[in-house]
Amino acid sequence: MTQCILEIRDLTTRFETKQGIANAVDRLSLQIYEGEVVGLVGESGSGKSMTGYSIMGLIEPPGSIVSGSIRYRDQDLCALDKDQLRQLRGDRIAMIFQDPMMSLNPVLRIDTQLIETLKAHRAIDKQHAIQRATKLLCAMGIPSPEARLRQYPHQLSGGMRQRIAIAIALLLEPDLIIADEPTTALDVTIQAQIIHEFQTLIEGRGTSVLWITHDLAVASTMADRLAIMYAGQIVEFGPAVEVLKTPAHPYTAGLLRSIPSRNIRGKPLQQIPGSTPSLTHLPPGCPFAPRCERATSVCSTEPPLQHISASRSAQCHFPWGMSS
Amino acid sequence: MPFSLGDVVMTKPILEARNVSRIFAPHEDLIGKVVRTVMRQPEPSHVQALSNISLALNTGEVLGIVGESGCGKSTLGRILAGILQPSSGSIAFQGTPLSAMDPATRVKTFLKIQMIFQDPMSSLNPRKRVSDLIAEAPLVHGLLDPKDRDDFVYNALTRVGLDPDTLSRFPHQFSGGQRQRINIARALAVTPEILICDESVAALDVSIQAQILNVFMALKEEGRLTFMFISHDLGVVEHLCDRVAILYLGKVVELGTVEALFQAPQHPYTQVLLNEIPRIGTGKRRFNPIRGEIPSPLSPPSGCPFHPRCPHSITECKQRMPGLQEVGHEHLAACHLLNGTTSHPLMELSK
Amino acid sequence: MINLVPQEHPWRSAWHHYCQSPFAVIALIVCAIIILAAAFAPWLAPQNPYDLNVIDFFDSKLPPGSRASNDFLYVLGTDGQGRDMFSAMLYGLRISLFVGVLSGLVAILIGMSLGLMAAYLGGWVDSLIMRVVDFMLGFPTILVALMLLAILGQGVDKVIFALILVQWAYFARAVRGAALVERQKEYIEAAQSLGLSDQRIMFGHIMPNCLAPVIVLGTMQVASAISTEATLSFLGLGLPITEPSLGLLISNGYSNMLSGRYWISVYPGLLLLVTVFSINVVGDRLRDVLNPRLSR
Repeated sequence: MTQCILEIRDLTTRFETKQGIANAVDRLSLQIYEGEVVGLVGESGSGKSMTGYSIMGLIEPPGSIVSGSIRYRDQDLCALDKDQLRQLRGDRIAMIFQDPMMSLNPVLRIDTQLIETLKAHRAIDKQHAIQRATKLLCAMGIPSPEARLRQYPHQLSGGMRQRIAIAIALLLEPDLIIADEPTTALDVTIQAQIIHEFQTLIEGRGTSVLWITHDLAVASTMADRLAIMYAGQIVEFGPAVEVLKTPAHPYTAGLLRSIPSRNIRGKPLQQIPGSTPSLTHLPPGCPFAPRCERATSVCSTEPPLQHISASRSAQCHFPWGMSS
Repeated sequence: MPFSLGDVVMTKPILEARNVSRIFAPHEDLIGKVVRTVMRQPEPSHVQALSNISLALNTGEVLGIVGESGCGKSTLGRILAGILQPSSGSIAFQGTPLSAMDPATRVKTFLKIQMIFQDPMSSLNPRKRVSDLIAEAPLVHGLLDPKDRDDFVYNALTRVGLDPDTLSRFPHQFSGGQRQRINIARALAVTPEILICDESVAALDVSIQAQILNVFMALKEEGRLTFMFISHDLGVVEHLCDRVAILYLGKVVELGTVEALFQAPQHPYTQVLLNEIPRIGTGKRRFNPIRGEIPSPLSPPSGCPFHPRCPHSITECKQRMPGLQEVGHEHLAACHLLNGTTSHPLMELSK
Repeated sequence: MINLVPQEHPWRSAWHHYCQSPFAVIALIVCAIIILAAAFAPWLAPQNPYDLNVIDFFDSKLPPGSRASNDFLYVLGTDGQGRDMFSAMLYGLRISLFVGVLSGLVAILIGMSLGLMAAYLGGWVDSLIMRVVDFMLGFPTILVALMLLAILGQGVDKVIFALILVQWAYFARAVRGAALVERQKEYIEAAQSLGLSDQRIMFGHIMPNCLAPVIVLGTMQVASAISTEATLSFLGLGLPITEPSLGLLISNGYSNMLSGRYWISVYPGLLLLVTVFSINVVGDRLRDVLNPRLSR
């Protein structure tokens, strides 16, 4: 029985804005097991990035985690103080961002930054630190790693910078990596390279990954299980292959239908009408109801979490795949 | 009027790029130039964004331009829209080169070619109301009578699916998808004949992207517009376009109908691209990506720009740039391996 | 299809942001009071300091609170000519503000136009304008103003001219910086694609988006101009005695400091200090509020 690395229960992250209160993450529950890749998919405003920030403890006012728990192994991350969280962060749980410059300091050399990270969490001298860094860069397929270590971030291409950011994340061999849209800003061929290198590295170490993206196709190539987010909630969850082949929630189905390659060439795309609701003015009940073709009057009440099968669930009054 | 080798043109091209090149050199002021001459320093390195591109846009079609960073697709779009000047070569509208036109006609011609930009945030002036954004250009060019202004804006907004009562609002009050619609309305306001869409849906969410693509398709159905669709997203291109050109480091490497190109890509780069896009149907998979970085346009490789990364490169690839040759019906590719033959070992495609 | 994102107008949210600092709000109120006092000086001042019939030379250098022979209360005392300090200060404030604001406004107009042209047209135009700007900024403001006034002589218009000449360069540089950023944005390319003329793009499209640094710099330059004019008048090269600004009042009373008649210099000095200080606080706060990086 594989161990559960991260368990999120009923997490709510709230932002108090002038326009009202927005629950960027709304009663979210998720489990990530050892060695698996969970894809967290959603459009902008769905709360996927906020989930990642909440786990890492990076939420700043006017936002705050107002309820729920995030348990890493047996520790409740919300109950830890700043110092304890800082020890855990980078060491056991690491994060990669869409813009690698969020992980890299533009005025420091690459080797300085890698050594800094190592030394912050381990008792290790400079020589060994450089050795370890060089080994990791080699494993990532970075050509001439010694030369790269002596360079500054601005001397590297976007793809290379992202590789360094990934290397920093992997340096301390964390149990969990949260990857927030790491390949969105990269070209197709570079994206393929980085996904390939990333997959090689995590398979070797049994690292768990929470891969946050808006791109269903990327998520499908990476993830074992898939969680679809809408308006701060997970509306569907299950094994990636099943969710994509037979979606249970109307939003997932709508998303899949919007993708050009899944439509008849030259014919209008099947679109989801309307646009994402403002988080401060959500409709009562199911947040997707105003745009849903299957909605009825009962959808103005909270949709229950329905279990389609042992491994699949959907937050909907009328999910597909339920024997009603 | 056919002009490039073996390119069989069915309809008359409405817009052509003829041997267009574009170089970007860093700006040097007078003092800098003097210092450089006195100190006998070499010329500052320049970027060859486009090299000798010849491309025709046929009336009524949707031509896709695909490529990664540094391929020059945005530069090409801007040159065709008149925002940038080519360093050499010429643009021809309905057969007439623009350089042969007098300035007034040239302005009128460029008005017929409009561009839809990528970023819905920065492509609208945040200080102007929607009605001003849409009505300004037609008023300035005399296409609109001031007393018809309100009706005009009303119709323009309805045409792109926006609520016409929002005409006095500012851009920041709209969502990304709505702003992109305003962009389209603004371009349509001057009754163009050609729309150049530069990554116009790249910054949008999937569901909104579908809506905007449908707007484009509806416009195409009306039959009065020709499109040039610049994108890195092959899925969108496959759905929307009739023909597609693949660019790599400022050169066209393959050109053909969407069916031909997507079913039987001839150029190794196209094959790599098609192989390396993530697709939903394949499930969790391992990529087998090609090695190497996209070369910098500041120091392009010799001969064929793709040869350092190409799995099939031969000696000739390092020495000489291959020309575009016909490899099928209305299908051209620039590769030495295709010399004299119409097929060659294809990489395995996972479709 | 309507689903608008309810967002505040940027100016309104800027105002709310501004008001979050009580100190800045107080400074703004003080500025407002000062401006109103200066504008309504002829009605607020108990005495017209230029009316020679009212001024009694024998009432000169009286301490604050003294009364004249006709029982008129000199709230803040009298100066060397027997003028009521309070009235003289109000009129002096009026002139100081007039000179500062007018020179600031004209400097903004000139500096903004040149900055926009430099940013948009680029090339040799940019190089030329910026070299001139660098040249101007290389000289200390006071020094240039002194030299100019030494050549041109005294007078309100000459002081304003000198102040415009030393200030426009700051605006040109600030506007050029902001305009260069705007110029890269796609809405400018869209305007070009739509065939709009260069002037229209520069003044109709770029300029409205460059107002933030102009507002910030403008407030601080007005304060600086008032202060510079005071310095010039103090040194005797600024405004003539017939139109005393605060600086001149301070200067006139300076010789009386040692004999203990502090009020002739100190009160105008305090008023000048409060004026410049509050304008600077407002400008400082505006800079924080209008800085796009801080608010986003």
